[in-house]
Amino acid sequence: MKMKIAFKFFSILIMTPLFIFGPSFYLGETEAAETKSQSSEQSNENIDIKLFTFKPETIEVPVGTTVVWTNSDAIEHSVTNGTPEKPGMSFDSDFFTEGQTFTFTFDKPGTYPYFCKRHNSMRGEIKVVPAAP
Amino acid sequence: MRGKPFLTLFLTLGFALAFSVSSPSFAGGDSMMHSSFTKASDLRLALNSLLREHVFLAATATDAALGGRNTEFQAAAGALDANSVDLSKVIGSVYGPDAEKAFLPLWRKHIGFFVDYTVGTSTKDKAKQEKAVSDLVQYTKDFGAFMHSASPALPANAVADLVKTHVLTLKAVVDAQAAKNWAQADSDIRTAASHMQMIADPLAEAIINQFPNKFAAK
Repeated sequence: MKMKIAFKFFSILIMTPLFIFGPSFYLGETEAAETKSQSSEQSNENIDIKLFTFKPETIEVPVGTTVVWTNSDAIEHSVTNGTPEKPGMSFDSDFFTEGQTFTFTFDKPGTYPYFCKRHNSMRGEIKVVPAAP
Repeated sequence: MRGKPFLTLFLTLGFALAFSVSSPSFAGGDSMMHSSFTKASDLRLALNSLLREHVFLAATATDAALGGRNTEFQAAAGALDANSVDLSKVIGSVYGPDAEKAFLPLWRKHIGFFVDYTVGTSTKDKAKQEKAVSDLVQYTKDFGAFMHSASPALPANAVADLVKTHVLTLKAVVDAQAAKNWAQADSDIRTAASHMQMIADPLAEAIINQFPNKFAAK
């Protein structure tokens, strides 16, 4: 009799959270998936090139981040480090057209201005900060 | 004779009443209708006026530059730039501040190429002239792409072709001015100015169709 009462008690103890919080309370699948998704977002940043503008124009990212520029204009643009007056050496996509992308991974902290070689008024900036410990 | 003032008063009141009933928007009876109607027509009018003004001011500037009248050139160039800023504000009012910011340097760029062409013509520097024409042709593609990005219903190539005609008609003005063929120059200015409607109207139409809530008359 005592055994039956104890079994019922433990059954209720185990089943109640299952009904309240769902299976993820036990399996932790949702949480794990979210964490994975967040960590992959942290290492990638997307910049859209549209209407002759880099959007967003300025971003701050931790070291190791890969930035992907997508050209959404029906004309060639470039993503070239530096300024038209003083081009840099870190990266230069050369010209790429609508629907194409350029990818670059920032391994060192610093401020990286960039511009389009064909449309000098198009400017952007990537601020790369040390990764959080 | 005594009945004449009464007849005048009667007719005046009659016309006023009839006008207020038949044209509520003008009498202020339907401000919504009036406002939505004028938004679309204001846009069409603004684009037409500004683009035509662009031609006249550009022609004034190139004429002054070719004649070596620097003070007059500076004044015309200043007015031409004010026209460019106004045009960019119209673009910004439709597509937002980022588009306005991107449009202004793009538009100014073709004015710079025209300055190069005028200087090349004035100094008889063939290479400079050819480079300026090549830059202007390249520019037409940029402008077409910009407008296509802003309003996808506007095909980039079609817009580029329209702007190419603008470039060629204005180039004809500069050539006639340089040759001191004033009758031809003035005739070319009229042609260049009237062509701007070919750019302004489709552009206005595309914008109005793209943002029906903002512009459509109810």
